Amino acid sequence: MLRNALRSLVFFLGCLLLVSAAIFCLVHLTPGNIAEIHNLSPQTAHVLHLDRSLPVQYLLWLGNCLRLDFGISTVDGTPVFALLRDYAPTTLFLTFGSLFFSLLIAIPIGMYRGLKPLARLGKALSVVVYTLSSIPAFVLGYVVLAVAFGVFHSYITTPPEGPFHFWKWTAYYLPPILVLALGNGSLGEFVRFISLEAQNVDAAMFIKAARARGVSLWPHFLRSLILPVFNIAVTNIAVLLGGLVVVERVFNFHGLGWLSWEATLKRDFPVIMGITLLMAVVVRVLMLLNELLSTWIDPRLRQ
Amino acid sequence: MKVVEEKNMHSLLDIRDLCISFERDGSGEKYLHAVNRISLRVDPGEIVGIIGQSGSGKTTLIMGILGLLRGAVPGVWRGEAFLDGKSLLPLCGEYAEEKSGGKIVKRNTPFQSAQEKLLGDLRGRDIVTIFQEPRAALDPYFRVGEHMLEALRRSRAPGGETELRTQGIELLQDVGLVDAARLWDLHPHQISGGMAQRVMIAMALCARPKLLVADEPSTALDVTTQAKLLELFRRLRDKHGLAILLISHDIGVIQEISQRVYVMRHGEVVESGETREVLENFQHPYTGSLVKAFAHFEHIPATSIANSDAVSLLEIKSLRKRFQQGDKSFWALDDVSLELREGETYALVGESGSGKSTLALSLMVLQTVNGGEVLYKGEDVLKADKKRMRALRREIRMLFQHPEAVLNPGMTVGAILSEGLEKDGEFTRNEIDQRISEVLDQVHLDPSHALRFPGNLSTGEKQRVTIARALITRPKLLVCDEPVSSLDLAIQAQIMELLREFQGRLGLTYLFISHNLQLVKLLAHRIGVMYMGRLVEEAPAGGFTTEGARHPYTRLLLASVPSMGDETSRSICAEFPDVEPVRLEGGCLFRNRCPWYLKSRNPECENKTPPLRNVLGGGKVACHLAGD
Amino acid sequence: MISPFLRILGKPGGYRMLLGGLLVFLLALVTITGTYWTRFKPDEMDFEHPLVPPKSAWLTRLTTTADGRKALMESHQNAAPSTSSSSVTEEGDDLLGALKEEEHPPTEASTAKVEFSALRDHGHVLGTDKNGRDMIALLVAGARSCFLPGLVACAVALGIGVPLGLFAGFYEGRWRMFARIFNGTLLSMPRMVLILVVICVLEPNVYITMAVLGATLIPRVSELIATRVRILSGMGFILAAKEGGLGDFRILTRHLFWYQNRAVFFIQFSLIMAESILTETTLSYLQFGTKPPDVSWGNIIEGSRLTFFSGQYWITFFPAVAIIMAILGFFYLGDGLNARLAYREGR
Ligand SMILES: Nc1ncnc2c1ncn2[C@@H]1O[C@H](COP(=O)(O)OP(=O)(O)O)[C@@H](O)[C@H]1O
Ligand code: SF4
Ligand SMILES: [Mg+2]
Repeated sequence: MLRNALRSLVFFLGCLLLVSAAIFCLVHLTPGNIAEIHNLSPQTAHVLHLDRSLPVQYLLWLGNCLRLDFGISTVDGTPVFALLRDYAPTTLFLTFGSLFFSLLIAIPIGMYRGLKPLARLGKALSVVVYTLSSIPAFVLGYVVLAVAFGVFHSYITTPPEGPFHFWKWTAYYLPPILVLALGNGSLGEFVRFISLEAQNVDAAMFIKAARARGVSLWPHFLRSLILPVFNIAVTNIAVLLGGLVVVERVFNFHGLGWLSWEATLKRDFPVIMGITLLMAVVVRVLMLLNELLSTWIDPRLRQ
Repeated sequence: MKVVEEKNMHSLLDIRDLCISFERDGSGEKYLHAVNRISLRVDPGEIVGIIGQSGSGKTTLIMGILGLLRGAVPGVWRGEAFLDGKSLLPLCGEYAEEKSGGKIVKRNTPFQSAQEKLLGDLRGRDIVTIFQEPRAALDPYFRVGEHMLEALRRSRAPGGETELRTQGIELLQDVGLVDAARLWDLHPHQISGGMAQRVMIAMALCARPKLLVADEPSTALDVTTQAKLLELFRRLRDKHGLAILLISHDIGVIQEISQRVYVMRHGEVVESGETREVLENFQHPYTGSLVKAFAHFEHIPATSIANSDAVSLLEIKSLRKRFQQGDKSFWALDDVSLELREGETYALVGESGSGKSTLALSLMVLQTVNGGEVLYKGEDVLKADKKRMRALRREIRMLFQHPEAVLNPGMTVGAILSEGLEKDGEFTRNEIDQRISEVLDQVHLDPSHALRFPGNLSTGEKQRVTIARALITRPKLLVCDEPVSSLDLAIQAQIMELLREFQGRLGLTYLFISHNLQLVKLLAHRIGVMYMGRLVEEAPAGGFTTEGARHPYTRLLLASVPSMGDETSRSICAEFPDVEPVRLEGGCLFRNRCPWYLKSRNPECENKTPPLRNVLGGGKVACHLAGD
Repeated sequence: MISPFLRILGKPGGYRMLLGGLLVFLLALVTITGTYWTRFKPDEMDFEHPLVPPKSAWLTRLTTTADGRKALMESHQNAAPSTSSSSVTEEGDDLLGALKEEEHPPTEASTAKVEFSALRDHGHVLGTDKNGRDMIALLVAGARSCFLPGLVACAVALGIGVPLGLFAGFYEGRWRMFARIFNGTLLSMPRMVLILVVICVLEPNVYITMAVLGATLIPRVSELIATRVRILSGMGFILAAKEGGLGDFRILTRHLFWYQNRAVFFIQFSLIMAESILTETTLSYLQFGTKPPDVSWGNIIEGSRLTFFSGQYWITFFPAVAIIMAILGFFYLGDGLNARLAYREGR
């Protein structure tokens, strides 16, 4: 078990290192010097270490990143870290909110579909789900907006201020969360995976044996399904984060997705590098957790 | 209804005229009659056997009455089943009456849910079931103890966790799991198949059931474990008065323990009655084919190639192979040496995991080894370069256990066969086609089979194709790794016949690997016995009997083969302790199961690996205490 | 002619396959034949008629009587008082009217012609956008930007993913480790963000972004194939092939790829096409994909951001429907094929 955990940890660090190297190379090995693109003065270029050799630049940059110093925005000079700190909460809230909603919808449908593969209702539901989730998030966003305008004749575009107020928060955060939860592919993926998994468990010999023993099947189902569900949820975090770029743009939400869109428009390298790194760290940490949890829960991996 | 109740007073399980049919193609017109008008009776305290080939409807029958058939295919039911006078198929009969006396009735939801309700109370209390794959039948996430507690709670055993634990451990010990306290905290993947089957039985016993249904309980187990399991069944019947319905495809098992037997074929019972009566004076030809599948083999005497002046074809010298398993590693092949002479059949037997397949793969150079030599006509195969290897691969071919795993389902039989010749571009298309029809003819298949896909062939035909696939390169040596184990008895006989025919006609040499001792005796000239990666005994086929065997393990193997009422075998088995095989370190690996060692505690057995030495009668044995 | 289609329906995934196949076929047809039957060119701006709503003249013709038509025409003329514009379009529409003449009952020919040319006035059946570009022409032009970029993504994802998967499944050890690290690294970055990084660094270019999309799909393809190969190896397949004396290359290409995984290849092809349409339209919507004046369904929708909220729904609606249909077509095709494969393999 300890060995597996250690292996996961090494893999975690290795992946992050590679991600950082990849981003760095991508940005620095491309035609056109950053200094030239942004018309930076030699002094600024020096401050940004742009006159050093690449490996040195990488190490310096990595060292700074480890100290949470991701450089400054080339557009207005704001420290990237401050930007991330300001924009990340919205994004994380949206991500986990929509993950929660997707699972809330997907688990019952998936279980039903897997355990009763012949039921008409299950088939119909899964068709609806697959169709919904193959609609691009921005199209679905327009549908939600149209509904918001058509039914409520308004849509709140500014974040609620002051103390927590349920309706205000819901009105503001629910539409993007719904779009991300329903569209964007994750929901279909969840339903497909969970139903397949439930079907497999249902067909397993030990469930048949438990049935023959007349004992309750739920403990057996639950224990076998916890890990797969957690697994698929974690693997989809990256998809959700990517979907946010679109959703935040549609709903004009100022989160990391929106920030990355803007940074791309303005070719603000440090910002987009910072965002990518941050997201990679989030994704990898969750994956690491997932692996550790698996080795801890699954007896076959434990020894 | 009244009459029915009274009639059931005597029999525990009473199945009458049961039919279960599956829709074939969803059209509601074609039906597959998996179970066709079966009537069956089990009395209290009786062991009743059902025998039949795979696919004959045995499992559908019992799964049907237990309400465990939950397929996607809608079925049609008719008939009645009673356990102790209580109907197991409620409403099924009523529906039938409604629809003018015994007409076929569509299975529908009310019926199923009513059955569920009723069975929910019976299953695990009055009627308990154990299955073929014992380890798969245990939830991998639940410890053995948790399984036991669950079963005990189900049986409404009183008491808290600690009391239940004591009860559970007692039950486990009762079924022969001596260190039950240690087992309690283990997960299913950490115990062996035999142990898992015993755990299943212990769980079944929690509720003091009336009837135990065992669906091929020993098919996945070794002979030695099987013998112990059958002994346990016998004891349970005598001690608890448990009635057992035993389903098997192995006539030996049925013969050994059941009092009455039903012979099933294509969903019908073709013959039934007292076991001895049925098997000796069978009326139906199908029963005859089961009993006498190999009868004509026995008349052909083993040919005399076994004498030592024949030329040596293959020589294996101290072959070693080490496997890593998790953090541990062990010798899967430990210094194995043997010799095959031209034109003979050398058989290799042993429990599963003893290294037979490893040996085959190693000598076929399909696996790396950790030392040793494999000399084919004096040339070391392990050191051959690529080009030479390709030539050698034509002379040494192999047959695998599962033909369907070997034949690529996307290729026609012709493509599969020609692949062996095409690769070098030596032959023209015409020659290849000719050769294909030639080998197909040799294995008694029609040349038109060349155009078919493996998916449309029966298992027997598939194995014939794999044989043709090997023969097409005109090999000298054929390594057969359990070539018939996955086939039905009648087909086994055909394939064995075929192999024997080729040996006579083409002068092939066989290395024949099998766990089935009876089968091996039919074909082999010499037999080697493997245990835990070592060759422990080698004997001419004639000396391979309980009396002639030198090594205690060989005696155990031979005595474990199920047979009817053979008291000597049972008493030999009883000499051996009921322990699991474990990989020991150093000395003789068999000592934890060896009655001689357990009696004498010979220190040599602990410290010194017994060498393979010659004994009288042309055999070899690796045991310190065995006589010459 | 019909019977093979009916036979497909009976098979698992049949409906999905047929529906998907039809949609894809339709999309291909529109792409290929589009220029021959569209009346306007996508870059043709009808400044006289910006933002006209869709007209379904044929619908009106089918459902109203001659009197009703007259009344309708009058009301329409009242509603659109600009006379100069109507005269211009009437001329233009004469052509169409002449083409359609044969279909008219000869007795009513002349009156009907006048009525209809007035009804359909400008000839923009699905309306126009704010620059007066014809919606149909835009939609047809958008269909073209679905296929080629998708092929780039497929080439990268399958061209690298399939061999990687085969190697990682076939050779344990190094290759497997390499695949794990490679995939792990790629999977750490959200797809959209990675594409944005590349766009930020290089100039926005559909083909480069599609190549990046393909790269982000490599993990999925290679893991799928590697798992299948690993299971096949366990079945004794590869062992038997080696026993038969086949070389690794032949086992990999012939047995493992061609006979065992080509179905997966086509399924993934279809699914990746769906994915690439999704990504292409999304990027165009984010202004990083196809740039106006080139047309993509995504940038039509992006261009309609403001008009959507002032009531001109059609500029957003029709491309959105087209996107959904195209994606669903490829998606259902792949999904149906997948169900079929799963059934055949007894999963
Ligand atoms: N690839 C492998 N990795 C680890 N252990 C293996 C491998 N192949 C076989 N073994 C182990 O080697 C032992 C001998 O196996 P095998 O030769 O298949 O026995 P047999 O054919 O007699 O049943 C078993 O304990 C088996 O689990
Ligand atoms: S060497 Fe000793 S332990 Fe081994 S079989 Fe012989 S007597 Fe038994
Ligand atoms: Mg074996």
